[in-house]
Amino acid sequence: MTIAEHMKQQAAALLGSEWLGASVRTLILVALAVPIIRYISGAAYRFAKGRMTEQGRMLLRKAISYGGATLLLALVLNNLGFKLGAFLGTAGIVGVAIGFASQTSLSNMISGVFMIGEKSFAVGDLIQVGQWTGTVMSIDLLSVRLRTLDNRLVRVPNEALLKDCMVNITHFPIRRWDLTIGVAYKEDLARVIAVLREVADANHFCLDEPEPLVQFLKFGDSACEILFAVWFQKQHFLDLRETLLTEVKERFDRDGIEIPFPHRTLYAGSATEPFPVRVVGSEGGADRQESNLMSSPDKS
Amino acid sequence: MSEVWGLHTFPSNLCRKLSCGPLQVWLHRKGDEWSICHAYTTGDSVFEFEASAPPKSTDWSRWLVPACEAVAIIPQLPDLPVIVRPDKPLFVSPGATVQFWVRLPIWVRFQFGKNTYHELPALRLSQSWFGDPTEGMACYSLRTTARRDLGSIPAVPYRALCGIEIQNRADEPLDFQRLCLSTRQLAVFPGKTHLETNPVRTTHHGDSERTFIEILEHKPITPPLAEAREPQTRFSHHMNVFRRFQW
Repeated sequence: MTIAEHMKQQAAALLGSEWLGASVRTLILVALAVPIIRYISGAAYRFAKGRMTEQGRMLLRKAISYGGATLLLALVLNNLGFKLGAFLGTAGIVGVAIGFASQTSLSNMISGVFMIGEKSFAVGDLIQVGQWTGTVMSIDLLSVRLRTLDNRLVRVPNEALLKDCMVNITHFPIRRWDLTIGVAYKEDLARVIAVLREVADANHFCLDEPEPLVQFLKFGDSACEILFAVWFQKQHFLDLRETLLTEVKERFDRDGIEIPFPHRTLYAGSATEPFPVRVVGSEGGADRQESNLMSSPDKS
Repeated sequence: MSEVWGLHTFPSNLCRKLSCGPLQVWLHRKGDEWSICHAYTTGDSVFEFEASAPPKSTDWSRWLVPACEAVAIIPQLPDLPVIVRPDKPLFVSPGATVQFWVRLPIWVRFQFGKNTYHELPALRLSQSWFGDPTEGMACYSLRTTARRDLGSIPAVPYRALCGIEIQNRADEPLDFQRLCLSTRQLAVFPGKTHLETNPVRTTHHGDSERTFIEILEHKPITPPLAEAREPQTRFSHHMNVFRRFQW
């Protein structure tokens, strides 16, 4: 028998086999089912708009997609002649092995379920996790995706979120911005506090209520430190930050209120005069003079 | 006052200036393009809408409205609730009723055609919050106070007079320090010399109870200059609008 005749014989055997028929049926099934599952999940996502939160809509779409994929897999296996009963029995044994191997993934999945139930944050919230601050893009099975303020994608495993502290910056509708402002010791603190209240009052993004908190905080190394805490609606933070600091500076300049640089005064002791220090000359050897430091007089 | 509110035919290439309290608005039309520029002055100004040279400012808003040769200038009430305080704190005895008057600053709406409009507040109000830090609503804070004597409140064209009747149906005296008044269901009516809104009756049932708010009919019954922002429901319940929250 020639090679051509042998191949003809094999092709004829193949075309008549049941396996080919099942394969074709499976391909047709997959070709129809995949777009249908995608369409149903998309339609459910659109239908849920306005009826569910963004997070809920995403979960609904994923549940339909994964559920449909699982059902499709079972149908495909059944179509190809695999006995699902035996398969599931084998899968049970394999599952134990897989479970041990994928502890981290399972932990992330279960953490994700708990996190969703807790509702400590939602899609769209600005959260801080460890060193990362970003807007929640999606809460997935294994991780949460954040978009940082400088437009980077951060993937945080659900287990890490559940274990660590997470700060939800935009959970509540209003927030307080605490500023510590140092003024020179020579300033009249009552006047400074009054000026800061006027600045807060005039700023459109500072809320009148809750009232701004302006208090003398402490005697700092170089300045008297004042706490200037103002409340604002969370969506106005950038506007507030852009305007308030400038307004404080302009008002201080106008009223002659000094914000001092950090400085040090040298003393030999409480009973002596400060050391006089004369800074001389500039660059150039001929004009350079020695600095002249005088010590305190010898009391003995 | 009635010369300003209403529909104004606007020839092309014309610029007119509206002076309404501290607010000054320049309106310019060129064909089907409308431009608006505004500024706030420190003092009150006359209330008029006259031809004027356009300012040198480049901060114009432009609107493309085909087949529109007229602009309607309509007074509106603030788009958020306002916090009203009495001129002096007052305790209202159980069972007593007290009448207050307050002049609410208006927003000026420039309406081009049916669906296109631009609003500007005649006075820039300070933002405030009514509620707890965890839950509440954004409001405006009024600088002017509510008074019992109507004659003591000067009438100005950029404020609308609102009568507020407060009934205390609780067993304890009502410590009236502030009231959160929602203006979205109030319409604006023309008065003899000033603008007016629907009167409001608020009934207090106790610190932990909701407040019963009733929007009364304006007397005399006249067509409003501007409808309410939301459909009026004559009676409504709100969270305690007198409540003082702890931060």
